[in-house]
Amino acid sequence: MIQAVIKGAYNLLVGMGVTFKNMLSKPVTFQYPEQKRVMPERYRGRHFLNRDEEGLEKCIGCSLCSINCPVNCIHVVSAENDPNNPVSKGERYAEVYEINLLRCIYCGYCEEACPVDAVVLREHYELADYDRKTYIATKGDLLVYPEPNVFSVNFLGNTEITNKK
Amino acid sequence: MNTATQTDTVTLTIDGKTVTVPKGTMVVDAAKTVDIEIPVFCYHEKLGPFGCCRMCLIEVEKMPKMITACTLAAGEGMVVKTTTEKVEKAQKGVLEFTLLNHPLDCPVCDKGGECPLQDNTFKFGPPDTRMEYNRFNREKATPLSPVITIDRERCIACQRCTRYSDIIEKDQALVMRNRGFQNRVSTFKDQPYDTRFSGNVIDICPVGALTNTDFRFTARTWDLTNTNTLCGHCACNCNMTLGTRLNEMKRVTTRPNDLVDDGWICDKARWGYDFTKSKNRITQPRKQGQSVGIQEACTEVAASLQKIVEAHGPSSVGFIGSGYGLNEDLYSYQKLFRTNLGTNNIDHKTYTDTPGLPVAHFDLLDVETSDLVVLIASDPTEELPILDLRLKKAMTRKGVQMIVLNDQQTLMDKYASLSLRYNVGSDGVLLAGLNTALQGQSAESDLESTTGVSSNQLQAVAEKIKSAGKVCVIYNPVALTGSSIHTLKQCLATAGGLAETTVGAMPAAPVTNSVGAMDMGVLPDVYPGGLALTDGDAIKAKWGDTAPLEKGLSALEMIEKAKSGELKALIVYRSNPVVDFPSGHEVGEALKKLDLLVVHDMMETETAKLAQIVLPSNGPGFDEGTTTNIGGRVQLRTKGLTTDNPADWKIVSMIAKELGQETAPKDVHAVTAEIAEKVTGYQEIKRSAIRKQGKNREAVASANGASASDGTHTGSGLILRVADVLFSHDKILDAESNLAHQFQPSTVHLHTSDAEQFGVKEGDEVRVTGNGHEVKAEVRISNRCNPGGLVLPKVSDEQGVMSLAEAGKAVSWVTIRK
Ligand code: SF4
Ligand code: SF4
Ligand code: SF4
Ligand code: SF4
Ligand code: FES
Repeated sequence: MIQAVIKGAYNLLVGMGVTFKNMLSKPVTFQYPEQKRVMPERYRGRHFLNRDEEGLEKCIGCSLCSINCPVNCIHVVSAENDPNNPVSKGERYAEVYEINLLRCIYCGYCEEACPVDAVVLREHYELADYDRKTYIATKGDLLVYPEPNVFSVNFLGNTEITNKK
Repeated sequence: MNTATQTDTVTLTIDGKTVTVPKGTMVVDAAKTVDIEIPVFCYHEKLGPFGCCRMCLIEVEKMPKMITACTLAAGEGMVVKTTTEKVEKAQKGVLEFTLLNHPLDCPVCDKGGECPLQDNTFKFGPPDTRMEYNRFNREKATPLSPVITIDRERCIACQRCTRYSDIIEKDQALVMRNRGFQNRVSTFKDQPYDTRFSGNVIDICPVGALTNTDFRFTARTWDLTNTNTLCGHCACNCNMTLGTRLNEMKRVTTRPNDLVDDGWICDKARWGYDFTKSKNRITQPRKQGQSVGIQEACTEVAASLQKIVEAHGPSSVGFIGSGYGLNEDLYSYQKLFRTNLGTNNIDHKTYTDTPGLPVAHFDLLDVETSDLVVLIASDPTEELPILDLRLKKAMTRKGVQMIVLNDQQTLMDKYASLSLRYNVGSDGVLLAGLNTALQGQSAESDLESTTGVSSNQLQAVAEKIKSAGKVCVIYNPVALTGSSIHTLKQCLATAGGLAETTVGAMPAAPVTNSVGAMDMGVLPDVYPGGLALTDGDAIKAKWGDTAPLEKGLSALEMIEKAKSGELKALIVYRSNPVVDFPSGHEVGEALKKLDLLVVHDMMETETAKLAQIVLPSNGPGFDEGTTTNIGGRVQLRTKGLTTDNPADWKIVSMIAKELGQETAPKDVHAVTAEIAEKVTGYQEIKRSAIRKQGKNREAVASANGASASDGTHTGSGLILRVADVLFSHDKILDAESNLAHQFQPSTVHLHTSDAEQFGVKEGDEVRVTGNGHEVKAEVRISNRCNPGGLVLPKVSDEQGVMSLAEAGKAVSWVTIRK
């Protein structure tokens, strides 16, 4: 009997010990949206299209991303570059480049397929919105940031942060 | 050795598998039959062995060294190995060399995804390159012609393209210039490579060196929706694949069918598709210039027709169709007019012809297996390009002989063992003479003075026909004058009666479905399947008791009656009488007198401008149904593009419904099935039977007319011969067409003696006048026809040559004015 009482009290103390310890430790939750998480560098969030050093589009409109996409959510229509006023470095560029972000499963296969490292999935994860139509990311939406990893444009209209490296 | 050597096959072993193939088969092809792949670059089965790329090296037992499988004919008892270590090493080595200076720009290359170099490298190549230096750079996009761009960096010098130009086209236009490292595919003096068949090199180039300028960079091959369909231009009905994306035409490629096109298409098929997106398309039904709904338009057409028939009788309405329609569409129209409106005023042509043949209807393959081809009044190069390639193949590689009988010089003369040029307009006399010669009698004495061909020469032709085992007669009914087609058919009948000779014929009228239009009975005097009006009981049994039995008006008579006011209503389907009919300039006036003119067409035409009601026809690319080619082969044309407008047969059935027809076909297959049921010769034509390679229809009844003797013509001036031109600037190939660079100026071809008589020199700008009309043209003193005639190629609609021809006359006389 006594033994049982002692054991119970001990267990109670051990249990409360965990509680007290956590009362003193820092919380693991983020106060989202006041606080934002810095995602790991290789996190696969929203897509972007890179530019090269000269500011030309890297994408050469090869559609390899689109054929590699398991859910078929990339639509590319390519066209020939005007040599005097090229859009990209190759002979061809993507005249239309659209990703359906709702259908995308963020697998990153497009990034892997791209022969010129044009399409990349970055740490941007705030994709909620009220309007389905905004989820068709066009070239204008995808080509937005001048420097790697800094979002300067408020895509989807709900983000204001500048993500840091 | 053993018995197999006495037969025509050999048996060999490839990688342990035993294969029996016909003698002369190359080892590569023999391997294919047992699903063993030997990689190739330079070898193409239509071009034959060459052996320049070394990709196909194999080991053969008892042979000391490796050998190229594409140049090695399969031999009896050969033991071939394709997967030994030595072979694999060789394959890797060859590929490494091939790729040494290859730009590897697959992501931007149009061939990417269907490239033999990619595929072979993937399957047989080394995993990596050992090349440490910069690659040799050469010219990238260089135009070879306005429609072909060559990327010299990608060329692997396999010479398929140059050999194609040499062996298939027989032009040697494309050649390898320079040697070794510097060699480049090019033309003499870098002139544009713009032959009639140039586009095929794009398909056979095993890399992305030869590219289609129009298609370049606009889509990846895997993004295309490929539809297997037929060319809708000439009556060869070549098989091709439409590559479309987002309901837009992207490219046309070959779809080899040895029974029809032998694996090639002409440039008109490959680039002549701008009409599918032309702004000149009729996309909306219109009534008095106002857009209306299709149902409203059909109701209106039906109501007006009914009113006119009630007031003036069935003979006051008529139908002018054309060979551009599909069998289903044409069948539906003739049915509408015969059973719903009760008239035989149905026609599709301005020349004389009858359906069926007194001899076998030969197919295109028979050209190769014949001993002798007799080409009458036909210019395949301009009219039926793929027939041109087939004839060249037969003449140069199959040992077939050819006799050409024509009133104008053609490129085929070069391949003929005997080429006779008769005077323009004397074909009736010539054919009658040939008939007598075939019967073993001597010709009339004035033969030579009328035709320019001596009776000895005709005797020689007859002798050749008699001594040949198999004769294929190819004739163009459009280029025969008057009723000499009947004489030609008598000739055929005579030749068909020869004991030692098998004779067959091919009616080679140039328009897409001209044979089909005849078979479908779009004729004033013959029901579908060659059923003559005299066969009243058979007609009644098939088409009901009310089926009209009196002969209707021919197309030209309809125009005549429209002028005199006896014809009140006309439906013109896919035809442009104002431009294409003789005396075209007067046709417009006649049509204006009609109470009702309905034009059902794909493009805006001069005739459509005059119509009260215009109906849209979808045309090739959008339509679905069957066509019958010159060889009598019925094939399936499917659609690669979609539209909201109903199909042509559907529009007809909507009109028929308004006219009280109770049953309507559910879909186009129901119409095809109805044709199979109703049209003699088409019993076996089912969708499933024709899907792959098409199927020859059986013979339709041959109804031959009697020939009026219209041999000698009197008149003053020169006799007009209008020649067809492949790339004619018409509604289909308009100014925006990719092929606009092929358009020719208006020229008139004269004989030296006539030119002297008229006092004109080469290059003079003259006016050719006749029939109250004139055509501007530049003089060419080419001796293209005999003295007394002139050849006027129909290079554009604008030129208006048909107005020089007099409607209803066998020949038309013209003169030359400076
Ligand atoms: S991440 Fe995956 S699903 Fe999304 S676009 Fe790329 S390939 Fe497609
Ligand atoms: S993003 Fe990359 S893979 Fe996709 S089309 Fe552009 S270049 Fe090609
Ligand atoms: S252009 Fe093409 S077909 Fe011609 S030689 Fe070069 S690789 Fe061969
Ligand atoms: S030969 Fe005639 S059917 Fe064949 S591709 Fe050319 S136009 Fe078309
Ligand atoms: S394919 Fe045999 S040598 Fe080129």
